[in-house]
Amino acid sequence: MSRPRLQTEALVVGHARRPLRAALDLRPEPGTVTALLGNNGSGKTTLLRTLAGMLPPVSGRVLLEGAAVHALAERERARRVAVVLAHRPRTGLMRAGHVVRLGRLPWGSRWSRGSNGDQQRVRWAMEQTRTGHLADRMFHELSDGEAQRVLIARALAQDAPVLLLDEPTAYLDVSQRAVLMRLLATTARQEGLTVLLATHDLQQALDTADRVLVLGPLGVHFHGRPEEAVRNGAIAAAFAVEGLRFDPEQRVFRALE
Amino acid sequence: MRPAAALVVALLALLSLLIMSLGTGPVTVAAHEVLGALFAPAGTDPTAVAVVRGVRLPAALSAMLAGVALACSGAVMQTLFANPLAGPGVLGVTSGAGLGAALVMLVPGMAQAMGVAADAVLVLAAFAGALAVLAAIVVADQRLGDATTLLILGLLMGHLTGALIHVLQVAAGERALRGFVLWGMGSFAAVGMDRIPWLALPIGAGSAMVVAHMRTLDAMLLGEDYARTMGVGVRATRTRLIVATGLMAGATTAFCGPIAFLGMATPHLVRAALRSAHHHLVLPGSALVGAILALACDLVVRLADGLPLNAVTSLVGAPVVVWVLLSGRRWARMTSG
Repeated sequence: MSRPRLQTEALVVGHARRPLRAALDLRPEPGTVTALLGNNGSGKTTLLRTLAGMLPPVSGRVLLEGAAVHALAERERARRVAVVLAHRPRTGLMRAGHVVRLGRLPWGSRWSRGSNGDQQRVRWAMEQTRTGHLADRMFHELSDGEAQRVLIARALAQDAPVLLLDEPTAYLDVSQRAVLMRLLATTARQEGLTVLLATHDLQQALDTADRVLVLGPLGVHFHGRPEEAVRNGAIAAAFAVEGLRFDPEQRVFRALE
Repeated sequence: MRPAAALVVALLALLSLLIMSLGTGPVTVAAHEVLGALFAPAGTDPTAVAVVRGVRLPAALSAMLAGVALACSGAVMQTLFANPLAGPGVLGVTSGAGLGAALVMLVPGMAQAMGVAADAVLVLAAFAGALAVLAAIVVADQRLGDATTLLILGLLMGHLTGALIHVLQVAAGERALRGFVLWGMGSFAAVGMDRIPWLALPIGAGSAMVVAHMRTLDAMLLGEDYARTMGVGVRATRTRLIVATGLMAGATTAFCGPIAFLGMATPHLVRAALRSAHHHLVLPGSALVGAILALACDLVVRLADGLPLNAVTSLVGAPVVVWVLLSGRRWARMTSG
């Protein structure tokens, strides 16, 4: 299933007086996962929020299925791009299944509790994220890993062709990170989703992502296949810190002897 | 508690309270006579009919309407500002009503100048005061677009109108002052049957607007950012809901005077009882429990002759709010406050 994609044209993000980087022309393929890598302050979150239409671009455009994201009405935008934010929301006494059902909000009418199609999509999203058994649990009682999967199920229920995630693995333990990244990659491929995620998890990103976009202080350091980023030294350069050396075999930074 | 069981309990409580309320007062009317007066007035003692229908029914109706309006406004405000201590008066709308009332009651000649019956002037002025503050808040919301700043602005607005009322009080004569203090105590008894539709109209309109936003309000529980990504026009939604709650709380205050704590406390009781923050449960639940509590407080007022309504609602409501504060950590974990 080929879906119209996310595209940026000469996009500059950040604050008007302090734009973060040179113009970005992105055109991520449907069915792939692109990982945004970079140190804190390199602008990963700013870029994601601009792509999601939550921040205005300094210049240039973000196009969702051909339409400028900032010109779209909220509802129409939510049908084209779903977002998982970095912080875990505090929902009050809300059940996990209800959190997922909220993903249908941009599709339903104001009055209906959800059509058959809505229910099917919700069930599918919860199966896909293995959260079906959590439906009746209180969201605030879930572990961080469970909560993150529920939030992703909510985003999948939204049925948007573009999925943006900010640090989806931040609070998870190692095994959960691997599970989550594989889940995202599989879903992207199966559904033809365009997935972009900002992450600090270098190893997971290099292992799972189809493309990496490495952001450095001077702008885009590298955009391409993860193996390439490792081989040509882009990773080592972007995260260069005195006293550390990047080990391209193990894909980790090590202290110099 | 399961919603269905809770609904049955609440409805039974409401009905029995209503019958008690209609039967209680200087003239005691037995339950069967209350029912007779309501449903078969021809075959019932005319005194009972006059008392129940003419005096107590309008008071009970205005109490229930006020309870619905205040509790639903409180529930909406708490979600809108992600703040457990928000209530119908948090944006200064009810103090605006107070200022309107103070203007006509405390400034000599003001009521006569408007040439309407004095109590109608009071209601109109109070409602106008509420609407004026509401309009100011909506304009500010269009400019600010940030819930926290708006909340602070609303609190300041409340203080400002409070200060203006104090200024008016200093200049006012003793009789006018006493009248205003009486209004400030709150009462459900002042609304005659002919005025009930005028109270019900804004409350009905506000409730309809709120009901239309139940799913959106659920999304707002995840925070404004998440709501936005799910297609909610946050600012427009907030403006509409501020208008809806302003109409409800403004009308209630105009007719019944300021009534403390009911709007803030009721939604907490409902959430705790149903163990749910879903608005399709919390809003009807708050409406029902708000009506019950208002009736109960009114009953206490009439049993303990001369006790101000505001004191009774505070005695009931303040402990609930204290309980919310004491379990503040739990709230902090559960909400985006």
